[in-house]
Amino acid sequence: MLISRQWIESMLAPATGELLSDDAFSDAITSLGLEVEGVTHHGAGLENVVVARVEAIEPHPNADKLRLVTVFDGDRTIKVVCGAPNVPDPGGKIAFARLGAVLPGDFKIGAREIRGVHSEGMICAEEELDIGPDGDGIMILPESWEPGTPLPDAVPGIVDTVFELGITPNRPDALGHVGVAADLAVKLQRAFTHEAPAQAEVPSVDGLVTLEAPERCGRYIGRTFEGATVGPAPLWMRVRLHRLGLRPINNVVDITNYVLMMWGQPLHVFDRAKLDEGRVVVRLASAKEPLTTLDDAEIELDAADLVIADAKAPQALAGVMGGKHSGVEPGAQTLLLEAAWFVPGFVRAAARRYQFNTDSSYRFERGVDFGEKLTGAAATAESLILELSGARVTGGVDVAGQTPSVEPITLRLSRVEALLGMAIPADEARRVLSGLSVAIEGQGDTWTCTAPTHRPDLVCEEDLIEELLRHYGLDRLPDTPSLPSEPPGLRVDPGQRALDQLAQLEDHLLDAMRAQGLQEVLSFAFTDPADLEPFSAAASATQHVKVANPLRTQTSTMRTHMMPGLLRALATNVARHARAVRLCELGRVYDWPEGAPSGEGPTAEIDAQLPREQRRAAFLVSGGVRDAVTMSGATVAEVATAVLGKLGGVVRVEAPADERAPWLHPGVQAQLSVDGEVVGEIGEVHPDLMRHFELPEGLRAYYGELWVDRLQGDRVARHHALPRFPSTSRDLSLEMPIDLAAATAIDALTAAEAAAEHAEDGPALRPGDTAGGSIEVVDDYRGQGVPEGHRALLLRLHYRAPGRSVKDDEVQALHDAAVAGALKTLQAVASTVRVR
Amino acid sequence: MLRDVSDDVQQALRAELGRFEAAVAEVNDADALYELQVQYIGKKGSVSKLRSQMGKLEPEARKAFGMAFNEVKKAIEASIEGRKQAIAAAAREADLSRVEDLTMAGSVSSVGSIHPITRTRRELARVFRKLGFDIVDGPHIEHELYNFDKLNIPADHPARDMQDTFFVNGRDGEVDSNLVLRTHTSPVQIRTMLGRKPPIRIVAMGTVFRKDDDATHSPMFHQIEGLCIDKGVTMADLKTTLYRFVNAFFGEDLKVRLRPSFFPFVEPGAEFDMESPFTAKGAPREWIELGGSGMVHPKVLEACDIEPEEYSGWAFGFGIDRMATLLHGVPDLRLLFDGDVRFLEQFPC
Repeated sequence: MLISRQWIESMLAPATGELLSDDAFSDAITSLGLEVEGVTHHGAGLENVVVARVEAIEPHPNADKLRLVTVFDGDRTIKVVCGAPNVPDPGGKIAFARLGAVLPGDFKIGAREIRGVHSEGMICAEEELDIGPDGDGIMILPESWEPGTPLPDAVPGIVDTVFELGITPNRPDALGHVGVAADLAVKLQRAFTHEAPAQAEVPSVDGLVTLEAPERCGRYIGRTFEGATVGPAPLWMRVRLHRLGLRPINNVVDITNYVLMMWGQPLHVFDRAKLDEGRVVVRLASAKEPLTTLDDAEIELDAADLVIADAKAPQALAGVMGGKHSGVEPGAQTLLLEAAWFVPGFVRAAARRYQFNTDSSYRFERGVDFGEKLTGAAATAESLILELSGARVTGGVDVAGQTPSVEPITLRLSRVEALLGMAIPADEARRVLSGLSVAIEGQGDTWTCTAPTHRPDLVCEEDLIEELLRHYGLDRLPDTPSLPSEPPGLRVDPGQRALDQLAQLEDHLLDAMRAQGLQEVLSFAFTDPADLEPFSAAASATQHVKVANPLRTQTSTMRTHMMPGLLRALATNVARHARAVRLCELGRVYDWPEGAPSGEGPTAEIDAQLPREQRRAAFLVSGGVRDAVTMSGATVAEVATAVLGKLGGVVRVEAPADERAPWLHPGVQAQLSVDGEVVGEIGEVHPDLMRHFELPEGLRAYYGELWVDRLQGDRVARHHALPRFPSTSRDLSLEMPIDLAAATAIDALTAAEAAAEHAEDGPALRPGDTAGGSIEVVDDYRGQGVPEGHRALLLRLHYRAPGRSVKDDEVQALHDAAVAGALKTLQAVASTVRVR
Repeated sequence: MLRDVSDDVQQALRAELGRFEAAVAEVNDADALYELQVQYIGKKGSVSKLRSQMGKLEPEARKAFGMAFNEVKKAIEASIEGRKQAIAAAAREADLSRVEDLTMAGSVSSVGSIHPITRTRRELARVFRKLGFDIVDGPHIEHELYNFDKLNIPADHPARDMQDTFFVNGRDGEVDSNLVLRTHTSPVQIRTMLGRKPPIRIVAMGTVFRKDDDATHSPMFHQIEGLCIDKGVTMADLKTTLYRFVNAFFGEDLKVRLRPSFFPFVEPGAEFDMESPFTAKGAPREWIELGGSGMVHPKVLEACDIEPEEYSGWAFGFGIDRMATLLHGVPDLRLLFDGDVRFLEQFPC
């Protein structure tokens, strides 16, 4: 909202000391919680624009559309070239920019040749001076004005500083100059001198206002006028409205806007002649009743809308917008002024229903005054209508509906100190609250306060404490030791422990991923449903979580998988340059699982209504198109095992699930396990997906994902004795189909060995000698001598006894048993497995 | 006769020495040198064998032969040692003449990086833990009851317009589900107050969402929020805590300023600014607007079954993304969510 410094000053007693600079003034407003978001200085350079009298008009010798106008500027008689069509006859007054004047836009007025004629100065239009929107013709000033008078002296408000305030929703009182001035008066310790004009006693008009919905309309003041002349408002009013960002329309409409900006109180004026039976009814609309609004919108009303109707039809949507039919236009002579109070929630509902955000609805929603300020606004509007339109007031009513009751608030000075950590002296507190029109009863520590009706935000003790703090100054809050009575770290809270462990786990994962040369990205949690389709194909697919009002379809669904975000990032990078990328992300995926989750604790009931959120750590690596970086599925397997390795436990890359993950290449995927539990998956991104994301043909990307909720971040590693005796190894060459995983063969061998007979202190497959465990993959041979679709996998098995050296024959017996058992298992899966 | 024998043996010794000297000059590696050593003075070496002849000699001659034998053996040993050193020196020379261009390795970069927002979050967590706060978390998809109602933001109140909200359909597409993408981290306050007894001293950090997308607003961003509930907690504590946080975080003495403002869940409410740590020396003081703060509204405490007459509390919150862009000098928020590796690799630390 825009605030005129000049108007504010006019409502306060003159400052005793020096007038505050605009900066200091701005600081004072901001210190009240009315944040100054912008400051504009108007009218600088216009002191050389003066009232001048037209002396003579003659045609321009060289141009049809230009004329030579002789003006008297109070000092000199000057001939200027003017192109405006509306130069008044000699004797008329105009605004004349002398040589040296600087018009808005840093336009300096100097002597110029215009089509061969010397011109010294310029006759100005409103727009050129930025004091109004009219640029079609020059300004015609009142004939009574003296030539030579600087225009800023003739029209107060031309030179002004305008502050743009960001008013928070709790301060409807500050949505007008009176409210801001009253608040500032207390802060600056200057008297607030603004008063509403006295209102004439007028006869009551029977049946003028029928209030059928008193629960929606708390007060309705109606005043009737006759003999009005609708025309332009005087320059001072138009300038003021222009400064405050409003477009002048006609004197009556401008008066309502002027009063709106003054009191923060929306008003409406009807052309009473257009009201059926000349009366209004405040009632609920019937469903589908039509209304054409002032801005030509045709709406069908809802049965929940409150309307101001005449005897027949709605003429305004109460508190939101007037109707076209009964609006005041030139020619209107009889008027009905409405100053009313409508219940905020209903105005808000109506404004939202039709998406009308008007100056009026904005204020009613937040809560305008139904008391003195409403009366003051009505009186001000009335006196201006009388003065500016020449009308006379013929009657009026003031109908009361239901208004909110104003409950007294108990204020304890001791509570002020307890809450703020500083005491505010009683006389200062009294001065502030009285200045804000809060009525105080009582002495000592406990006061009974009653807030004024224009401060609907003051309802509890803390609200009053905030008022005291605002005015006393937040910069006076002292420094305190600020120690918690019991540092939280001293307590063992199981919930907190779990949260800390999770945070630590995520830190570990991220650090480990980063150590693998991965770069962390953040993707949006919502995504394009089309990107999620490949992930919905799996049998375990669950319901998507949909955003009801997305910015775009592309952001309408909460992600169910991390891969689309990473592929989008890959696509972005590939499009911008062709470098290799190694990306990782920690994030959540969202879905509606089958069956409601069960939980405990005070939030369980709400939690049961929420979708599931699971944590993921994901990564994607891909060679660039130009970079000489080669990657394979092994790269991602190494990354995954290294990352999981940081957490401890036995990490394994397992054979893929029987039902392959459809987003990964069917032949290049695997599962990850820690201590036997599956905790993630890795593989090559499915070529169809690469195509879906429009990645270049031939580019491959490898993806890995860890299911964070299944991981443990607080494992404490346990020592076990180092091997003291050497192990003995046996090599085994297995011929097997290429899609049978090495992990499956190793599992089969491990199981068969475990099932074989062992001497108590004898050899067994025991880890500890090699980094690869007790069974290592030494070679994977495909080619000559190996059947098509098969490979020869060379495995090395390490046998060791805990307390002695092993003998060849006992190792051989065990090895033979392990191989025989494993073959049986493997041949059941693939009959062509054999020992080479 | 005997003397003759002695002369013969001595001659043989000399001859062996002569052969050895000739051979050792040809040897260029340690293995061959060892072989030569074995060949001559090993247990069964040609020189060692001559020693067995000593028993046949007269005591007088034996002594002379012994001296000659030792002389020859020592000469051979010295020669081997000398040759050994020469070979090692040559090998070292050869080793040192190797050239490997390490600058080629430096051109392939795979240094990982941590996102500036994560880095900032970690730093914030570190500082707030030090200031005695527990770090907590909550769901991203929230019920309006926690995101709004219990925070004193009733339905149909203009305060709800302060945050452009993404609404979420319920299970099976239900439209009036009362679910939202959380617009702030404040519902975590509610969850904490419902779940724990005072004293409470927590910080919640995380992803939040607002329906807003332009150069200065991203529809997804990150917030941090602090909450302290205890007996006798004051607004002065709040200001002091913010002051300490700013100083601990930036490592210098920066002032904090509060300005009155409105957030429905606090009363009194204030925005807080910090003195800019980036102002040039001698330049006028600049303020950076950080976020909102205030004393927890009694209605919020009551909504969480905390008695406002017994306990008071304060809360504050601000944007992590903004803090991250300030710290790292990132000019445009959109860079943060773009995933361009040329941006990401700028943050190795």
